[in-house]
Amino acid sequence: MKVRVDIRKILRSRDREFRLEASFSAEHDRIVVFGPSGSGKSITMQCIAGLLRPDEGCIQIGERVLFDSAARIDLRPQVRNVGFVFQDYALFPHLTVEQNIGFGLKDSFARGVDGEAAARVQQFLTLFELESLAHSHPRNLSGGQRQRVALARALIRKPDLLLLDEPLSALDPLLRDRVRRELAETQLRFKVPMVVITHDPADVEALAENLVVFDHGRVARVLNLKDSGAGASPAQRELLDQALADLYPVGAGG
Amino acid sequence: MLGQAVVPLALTLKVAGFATLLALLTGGLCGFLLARYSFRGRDVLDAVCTLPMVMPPTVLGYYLIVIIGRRGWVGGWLHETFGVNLMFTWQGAVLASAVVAFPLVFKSARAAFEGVDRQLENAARTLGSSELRVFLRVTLPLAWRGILAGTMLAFARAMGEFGATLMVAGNIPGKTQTLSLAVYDAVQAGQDDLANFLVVVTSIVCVLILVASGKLFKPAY
Repeated sequence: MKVRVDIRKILRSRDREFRLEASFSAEHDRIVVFGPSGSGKSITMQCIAGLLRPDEGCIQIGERVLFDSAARIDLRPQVRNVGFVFQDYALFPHLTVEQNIGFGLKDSFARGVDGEAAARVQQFLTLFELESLAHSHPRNLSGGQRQRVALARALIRKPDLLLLDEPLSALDPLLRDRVRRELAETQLRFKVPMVVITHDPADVEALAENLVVFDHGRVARVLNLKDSGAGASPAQRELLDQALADLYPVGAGG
Repeated sequence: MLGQAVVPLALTLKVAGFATLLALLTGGLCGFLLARYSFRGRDVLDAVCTLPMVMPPTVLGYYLIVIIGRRGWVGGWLHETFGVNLMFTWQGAVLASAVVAFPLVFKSARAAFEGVDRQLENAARTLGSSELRVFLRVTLPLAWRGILAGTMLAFARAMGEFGATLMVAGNIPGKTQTLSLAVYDAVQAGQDDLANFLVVVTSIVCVLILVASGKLFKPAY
């Protein structure tokens, strides 16, 4: 599904001003947004999810327009149908794993879900290997388990697009490889287009079909890494290396 | 002796109960507004809301007389329109205690609402929850312990209220004479036995409340 973002926003705090001018479009299902901290990646994600309002521009997923300042369209986050996996996962600490996953299934004030929804929650618990933890609270889970809960909670709503804000940064480095693989498998299984924010070049290698490079509040480059095959052509490879070198002048290590 | 204690004790619980309820509703609302909305004069409003905590209760009582006294701004209107008079009634004592207890709820509620991670509310929004549901299912469940702890402190404070209550409601046995006023009367009249008994009862109730609220102030998650 094609994702098109073209937004401008100025954020002011007491002593400084940040100017975001993000413009990119990506047609593949695995989009990696790469760039150093403070380059505007997270703000862009929050604009896509509807948690922040751009000053102007437009945001489109496939044929759906989520935001268009010219046409005065600004869907509430509740109806955008965009899943969001936050950097620290933002699991509800007062709810169990089961209740966390079922939270978005219906907009009622009751604690649990029942009937069809409950069956669906069970199915997702199994899919994400969380059955034995159904009644645990998030504080008792490991980092990898928390991430699976956050993924299940977002995917159970069948989102049109899944946003992941540095999904691996809260994890033990030893765990990252495995979780990165799981993430790729999950994307294939659910066939949901996803946008992953990262500043780890290893994530770019493993996940990116489309690479969007941010720098100082602007999109510096948009690369297509899929159509050139698994290893990426030498020309693509060179572009990627150059992009990385621009951002990390002293070696490309994260 | 027990009989002499029962009437003021019952009155104290009634007055403190209603006062705490009033303080919870107003203090909770003010705490939420000041925690969530930034506006001009917020710091001044915060100071005004905290004022009853540091001002002498007699001064508060005087303010209340100016406002709800028979010739006061609100009191005069109440008297003319409804024929209601709050001075020297237990309802007046409720109002006085509520004003004194208000900052304790307000301060705790503000801190509790500020302590709720905004990212969790955002997560609920991306999961399709309406603003009301976000408040009832995420914000309130995460803040209620802090609010409840402050409410219990407010109850303890309202039980011990003396100065403002005396100014507004007087010291009428069986009508507005609460425990703390009864202790004062007992000591003045040389009834040391009664004074001792009332003091012990008051102390035990206050210690119990402080222990319970201390437990609630500790985070659960």
